[in-house]
Amino acid sequence: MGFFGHTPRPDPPHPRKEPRLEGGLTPENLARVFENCVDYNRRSVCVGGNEALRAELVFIAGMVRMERVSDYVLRPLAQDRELGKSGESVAWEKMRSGALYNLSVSERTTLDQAVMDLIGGNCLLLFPGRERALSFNTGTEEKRSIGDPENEISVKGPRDSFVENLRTNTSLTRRHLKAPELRIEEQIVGRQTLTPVDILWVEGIADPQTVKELKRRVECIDIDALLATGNLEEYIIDEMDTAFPLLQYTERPDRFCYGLCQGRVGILVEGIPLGYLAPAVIGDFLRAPQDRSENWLVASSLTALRWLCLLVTLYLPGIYMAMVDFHPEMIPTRLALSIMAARRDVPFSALFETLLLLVAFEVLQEAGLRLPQSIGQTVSILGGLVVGSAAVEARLISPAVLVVVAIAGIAGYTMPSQDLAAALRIWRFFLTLLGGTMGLFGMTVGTALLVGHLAGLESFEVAYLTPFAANAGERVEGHAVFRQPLQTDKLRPGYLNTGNRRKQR
Amino acid sequence: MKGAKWMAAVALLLAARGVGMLPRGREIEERKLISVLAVDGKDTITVTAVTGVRVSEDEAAEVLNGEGSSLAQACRELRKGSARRAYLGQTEQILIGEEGELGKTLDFILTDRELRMDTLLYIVRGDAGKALEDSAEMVAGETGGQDPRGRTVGELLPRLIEGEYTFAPALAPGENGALEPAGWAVLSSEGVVGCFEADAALGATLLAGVGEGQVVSFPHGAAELTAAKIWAVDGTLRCALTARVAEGEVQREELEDWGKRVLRAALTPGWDCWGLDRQLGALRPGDWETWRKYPVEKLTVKVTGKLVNP
Repeated sequence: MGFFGHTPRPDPPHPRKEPRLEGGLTPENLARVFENCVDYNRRSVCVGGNEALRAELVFIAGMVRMERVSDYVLRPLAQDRELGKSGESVAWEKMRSGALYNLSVSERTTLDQAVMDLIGGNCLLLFPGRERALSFNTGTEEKRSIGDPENEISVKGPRDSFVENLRTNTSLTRRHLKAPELRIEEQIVGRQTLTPVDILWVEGIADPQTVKELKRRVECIDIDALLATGNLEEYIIDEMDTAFPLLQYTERPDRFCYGLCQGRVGILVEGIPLGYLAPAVIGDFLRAPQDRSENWLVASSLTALRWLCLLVTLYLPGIYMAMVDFHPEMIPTRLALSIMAARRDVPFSALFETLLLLVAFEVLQEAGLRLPQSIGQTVSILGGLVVGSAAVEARLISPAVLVVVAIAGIAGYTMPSQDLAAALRIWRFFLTLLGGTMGLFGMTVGTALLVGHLAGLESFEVAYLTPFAANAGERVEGHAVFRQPLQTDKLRPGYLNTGNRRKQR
Repeated sequence: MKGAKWMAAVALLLAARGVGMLPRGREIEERKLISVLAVDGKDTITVTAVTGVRVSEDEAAEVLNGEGSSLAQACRELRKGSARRAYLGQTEQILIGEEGELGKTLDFILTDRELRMDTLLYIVRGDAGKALEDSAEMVAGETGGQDPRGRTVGELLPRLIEGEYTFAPALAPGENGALEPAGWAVLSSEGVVGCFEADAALGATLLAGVGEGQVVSFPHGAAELTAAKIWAVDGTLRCALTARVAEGEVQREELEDWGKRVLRAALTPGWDCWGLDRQLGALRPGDWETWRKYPVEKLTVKVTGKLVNP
């Protein structure tokens, strides 16, 4: 019996049918598989003009490039008289060995393979009565062109970004990272989407254990569809009960390749214009793409500023609450007098007022994100300026809280990782609640819980708080806040267990 | 399992909150911030408090009074006088009447949860409460940090606890009711034992290390002290004065004579408020006992002067 009297039912079985499609590889079975599919096409062709020797060409419209099929498959098939003169077996061999012009041709003998090829953009050539087919790669190459990264803008640095096409993304990686040791292994994830997922690493640098573990975790994913990033992330991370990101993602091939060179393992997914890197520690989420393009002093200062902003966005509302309600002696007298005067006509308690504004801030942000850019900006201006100042004038909120929440919110925007910023926002609510109900004691308890939580996190067996925390009882060196001058940064991070730690002379 | 730990932590916090083990907050606007507190009386303690105001908003200061057999009781009475709770945590200045109970006041500051050690302490000639009431509007708008002579409770306490003399700035009501500087009060664990006035006050100021900026008048001119370095060694108090000629003509000897005179005046009563004996002992650790309680009035004063033209 469940908590509310509901009797939980056991989950139904989820068997994987093998083979997926039954029957031999014949044009009839293919037609049965694609029954009621308007894009399924089948055409009978006389081989070399011989009426007695007919072949079936099968393809899915929209998935193949028509010119390729017409010029490099159909034309030689119909016009090459030599093919028509020979028998079916000889013609088959000739076609397989190059009589039809195509970069790749494969012989398929099962219905499963043939259907997957068709869906992948291949065209199939079959002889009636023979349970085999030649599969030609004639897929269309329609895709979004490579453009500037939208979320990881860099003033100094490459301007290309990943696209939705997996092969384009692997080619981008190859162009940036020309080492022959780059390995790319592919797995198919999703029973319905059959999404290719590529795992990339540099042999001799990446930790073989991490590669093995990542492959295992991807193999274990048995879902219907891999269409969103969460379909992958949530299945391969070490800990589910956390808001903090445990995998780093980037839309910049240069950053992705730098991660691979460091000894991390990459993941590319068909349909997702992002590259994932594992393992990831907290410092990785506070580094911006341009950090390595800037002077080390500038980059270090900016990274330190981001760490400071992390503390501000996390703690400011909570500390404000604790100081105003529990420890007013911490506030300079003049400021305390101003806060008192501003709050005198506000009908809400300081805690309710702060939480209300934090929620309003989230609502505004969400509204701005979901609307078209032009309207989103209007909403932000309306919400932030007009409603904010009107609320202050109407004495619904005090200006001090508005300033505190705005500073905390803006500090959160300095986070290079939106995933990290989102996690901080959740914890900010929690800490504000503790600060408002228990003062600095509550903040201390909250901090202890946060540190305990972070200390318990791992990303592919690497402590999330590295280099502030030990890994398996062993302290590893690293630089989370300050970037060293590149000439002195000779080693790859120790916690990655790289095969070759030295990275420069 | 992890969820259970979190639930247990939250339950523990809520339980602690419920049974009152955790501090309870109070909205800041429900408080009345006290900026200056005056303490008078020995057997019956009287406290007078002035609330902080925003000068820019032309706010009027409020005066609260309380009386009781102890300072704690007097403060409790003081709080009864207002619907909003008088909060002492923002008190910047504590004024103690000449006849006030210094020891009890310091004890109260040490034990009270709100009063702080960095509160400035002043001794008021006469009735501190009345002087505060008369100058309420002026003191409420000032911040204590603006007074260069200010000494905090934390600075005074160590010497008092060890049974030694120390000093605090003395104030007296002026003609228009404002509290004005009136030399230094000498404090011991017994209370106010005396004061430095006139030349002695100037000497005490030099010894306190806050003499810079003082303008000294001479028969044919005036000089502004730009540096005053004082150290005691081998029974001699050495002083190096540097002054900028501000007006007319000033001779180096005049400056040195002035220095000797004011320092001697400060030392003559024999109140070592500055720890000169420790300085003497610290520089000669082998003769620690000889110098440790060396009477300051017996110190030889040597002053070297240096004049800098503008």
